[in-house]
Amino acid sequence: MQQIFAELFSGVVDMVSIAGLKSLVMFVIAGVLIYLAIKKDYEPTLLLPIGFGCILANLPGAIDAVTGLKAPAALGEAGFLSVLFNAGIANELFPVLIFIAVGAMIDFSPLLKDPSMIFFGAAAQFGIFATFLLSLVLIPIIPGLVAEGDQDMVLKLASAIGIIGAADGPTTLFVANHFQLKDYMGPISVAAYSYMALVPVIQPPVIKALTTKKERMIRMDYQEERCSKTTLILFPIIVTIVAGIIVPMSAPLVGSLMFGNLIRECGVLERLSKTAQNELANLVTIVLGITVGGTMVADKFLHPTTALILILGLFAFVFDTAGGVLFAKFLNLFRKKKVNPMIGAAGISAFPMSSRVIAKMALKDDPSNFILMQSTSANVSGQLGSIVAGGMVITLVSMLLGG
Amino acid sequence: MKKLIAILLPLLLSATALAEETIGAADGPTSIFVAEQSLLSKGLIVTAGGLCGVFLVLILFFFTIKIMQKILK
Repeated sequence: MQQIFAELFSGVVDMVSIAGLKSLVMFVIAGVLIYLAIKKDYEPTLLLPIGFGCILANLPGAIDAVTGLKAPAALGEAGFLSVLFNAGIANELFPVLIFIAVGAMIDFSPLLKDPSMIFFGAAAQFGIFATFLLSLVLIPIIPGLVAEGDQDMVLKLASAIGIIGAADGPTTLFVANHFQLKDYMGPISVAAYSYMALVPVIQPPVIKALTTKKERMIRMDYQEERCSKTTLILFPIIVTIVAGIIVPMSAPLVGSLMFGNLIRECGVLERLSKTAQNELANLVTIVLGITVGGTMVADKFLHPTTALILILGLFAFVFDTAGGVLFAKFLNLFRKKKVNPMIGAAGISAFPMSSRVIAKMALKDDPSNFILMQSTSANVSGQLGSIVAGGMVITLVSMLLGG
Repeated sequence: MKKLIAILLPLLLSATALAEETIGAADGPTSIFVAEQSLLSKGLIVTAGGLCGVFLVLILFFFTIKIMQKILK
């Protein structure tokens, strides 16, 4: 009789143990994510499912009928979060599907009208590599993060932390998954998505610190030319081929982004384009969010690495912004027609948030200075730049592993 | 056009060399050179190679757009 009661109420018994206390901490973290999503409107489409997935992953365990091991019902061998993880993240399917949806939402015409903005999409990836280097220095000196002398693990973890600077959730997940860092996927994705939502808070102070008011008031010409349909159709095809040849590792992401964009621009697949932009994006976002939340298990999340990932993730965004702004200032040394250096900061991938923040800042300093189209060009370039950077990191780090 | 080719050619050559190196590393054991590098040196290799790679690919995109614009005009 006592045993039956103990088994019936094993969940309650579990919650009053040390493991139970850890679960309670995770519930609080989940609550914060859900609060930020609902009350503050910070990336609600992702933070809310992540928060809820976190709750599911930290509920008391039940005996798994298949393995005989104790695990939260949603996370066991046949638990739906494990099934979703294996079906969509372990094989990189969800990030690729998200990119098809994103591609269908992006209008590349501002970039095609002013292609010189593309360089900001490269410069603003500086944060990825600066954070990667910083992580390489910090990870080995903080005790307990990785086994001593395990250089491969340090490289993999540093890559996954650095790529938070891509300001691009699917790319971040793609890289973390490529290096099989399932245990770190929770904090990495939480950092990536939270900081993307915090772009309006993170970028302005960095930009103001690096520019003068006079620089922020620089006006930029914009030609209202129409972009031909042929250009819009050829662009995704050629970009896929070029990126696929030079950085083959980026082909799944660039290819899916450009496929989505081709559906949008071809003009004969309006139904598919709308499906990709709405139903596909919404469905994959729901399952991606809750699955990522399912990786936030207390034992793995409540670890010093999480704090390091969150701090370095913030650095990555700051370095990205600084890299873009400083590159624009550097270009201005040689250009006759000066560029507003704030445009450089829009070279990060957080689309369209970053371009709006920059346009707003320009209007604040000069109410008649409209640079939204230029910042949008830099912002869509950032989307391309971040994917290519992800591919480069995977390629180069894979080369160095085992050395 | 000649100017464009003069700029593009070395870029493409370096990209090809990088690709060959990558394929080489994937086919066989990692070279002794790589094995001897410290963690920080490896980090610098990734940083330099990564940043150059991103710029290279986006420069190619830039020229692709420019060429498309010229042809379609």
